[in-house]
Amino acid sequence: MNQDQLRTDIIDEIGPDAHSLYDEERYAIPEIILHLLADACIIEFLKGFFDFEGLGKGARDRFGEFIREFRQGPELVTLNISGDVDHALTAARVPSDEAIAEAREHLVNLLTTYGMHPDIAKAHAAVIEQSILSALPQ
Amino acid sequence: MPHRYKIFADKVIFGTADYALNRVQAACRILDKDRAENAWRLVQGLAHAPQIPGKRVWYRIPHPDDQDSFISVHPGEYRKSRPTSGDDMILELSETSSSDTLANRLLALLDLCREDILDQSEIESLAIVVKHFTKKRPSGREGVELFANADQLTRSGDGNRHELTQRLFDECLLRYKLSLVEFSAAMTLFQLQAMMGQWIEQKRLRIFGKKYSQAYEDVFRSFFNYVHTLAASEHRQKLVEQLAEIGNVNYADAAAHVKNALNAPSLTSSTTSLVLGAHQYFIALLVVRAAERTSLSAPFRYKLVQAEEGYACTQTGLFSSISFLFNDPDDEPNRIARLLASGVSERRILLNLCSPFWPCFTKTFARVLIATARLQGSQFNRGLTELHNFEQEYGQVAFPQNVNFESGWIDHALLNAYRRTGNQERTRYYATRIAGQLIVTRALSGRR
Repeated sequence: MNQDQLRTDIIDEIGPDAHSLYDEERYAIPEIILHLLADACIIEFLKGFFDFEGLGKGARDRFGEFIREFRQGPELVTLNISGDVDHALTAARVPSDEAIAEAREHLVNLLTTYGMHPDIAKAHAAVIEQSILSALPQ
Repeated sequence: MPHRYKIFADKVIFGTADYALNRVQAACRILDKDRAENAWRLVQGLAHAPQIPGKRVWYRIPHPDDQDSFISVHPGEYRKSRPTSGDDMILELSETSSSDTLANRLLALLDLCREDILDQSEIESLAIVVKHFTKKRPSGREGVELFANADQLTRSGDGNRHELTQRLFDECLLRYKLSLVEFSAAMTLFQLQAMMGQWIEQKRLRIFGKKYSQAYEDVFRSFFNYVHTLAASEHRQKLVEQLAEIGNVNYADAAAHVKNALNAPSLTSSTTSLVLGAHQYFIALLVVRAAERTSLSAPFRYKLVQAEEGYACTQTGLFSSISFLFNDPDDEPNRIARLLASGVSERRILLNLCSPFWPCFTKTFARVLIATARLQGSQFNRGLTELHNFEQEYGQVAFPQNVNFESGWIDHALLNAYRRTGNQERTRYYATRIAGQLIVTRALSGRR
């Protein structure tokens, strides 16, 4: 599976729950938010077992900054981090079951912070986890 | 002389009638006739929305029973309150041509189906929908009676609720005896009464006639009144739990249906999944609205905005087929070719063709459209190879008749491609193949 396909799968999985962040009115979500949400999911999952610093000096800070801004509200995000995410997906390896459980927790936490009900966040996280794991080199 | 609407600009693509019959009928029966025509007028209006420098153009959408809403296309946004910034410009939907109606498009579809569809019962079913759109007389009586009968059998313990529910789905939703939104409200009311064990009082048809539930005749009013009545009774807590259960189950299942539609093996089989998805998203939003109206705090796992978006996107997916089918078949590949030429990524194009936000086509057919678009530019050879791969893929499906349209589209695209390159042998092959399929189909339908 290539990285674009992985992001598409994540966006398809989340579907209208991408609107969880919004309350009263219906807004057509800018498309960029969907792609940022997909990247945020990948980063939050990988950080459970992958050291971003291995991608080069300052990489961990870039990812940390991205997630910090995303959690404040994705429209504030201006960093382009997709290339770094692609690198991380190439370099990371399928981890132990224990590490996967921790990674899943990070993912659920991101989705609930984004406004999803915990049950819905867990259901999405389970599917997204499988998509990311199947995208990693064995 | 009235304008004659043409499917695919009268360009012949084998299988079009199958797909058009299946999808246009479903799209037209989401809403009741008047609302469907208004929605179509809105779609047409938005498609021609002006772009005014320095202004953000909004259209006002009047709702007879509710406050107005406002919609903008550039950028896309929907609001329930009037936009008030200095840059906002609010327009009324202009009166479109009085002949540009869904009714006239359905008539064009009926003409095509009489030539190309073999199954007479399918044509009869479409003729009923056409009659519904062209006559002033309200329809849906049969669907209402089916619900009233199921209601009677369930409350008296004489019927199996599961079997009755299945029959209501088959007859009323999938055979279009009620509009999708009326069906969804009726099904919610029917299930909620059974779950609560509290039924709306029946009336006698005549003084000594049998008892009959009139609740399904003005079903939205009945549903909201039912919830309001129970909310003020000792059943309030149980009502809260049942509304949450109905909403949560339907919301989760709706997303699964839309995913099935995107991954369906054919466009025609994806229609049923989209209809079920729209139906379940509508129930999910209906129960939240009912809870809000009666100040019930029910443990829904989703917000109203999510259910509304799910429903709106699924309805858009069904509705988009009408524009696709009544335009020139080259329009969509041309549009995609322009996007590719301007550097838009394939991933972004696919998001707008086949995602939960734009569930217009199946994932495979969306890729067929992109391959067709490649034939117009520097990626000609890649497009040709991809189309031959899809030709092979669709040729291996278990039920080839289900992918008549997809195969017909690929034949049409390959015919044009080989004609352009001057490959006479391949041109003759595809021309003969298309002509043969049409001659056989029309001969068979003509024998009836």
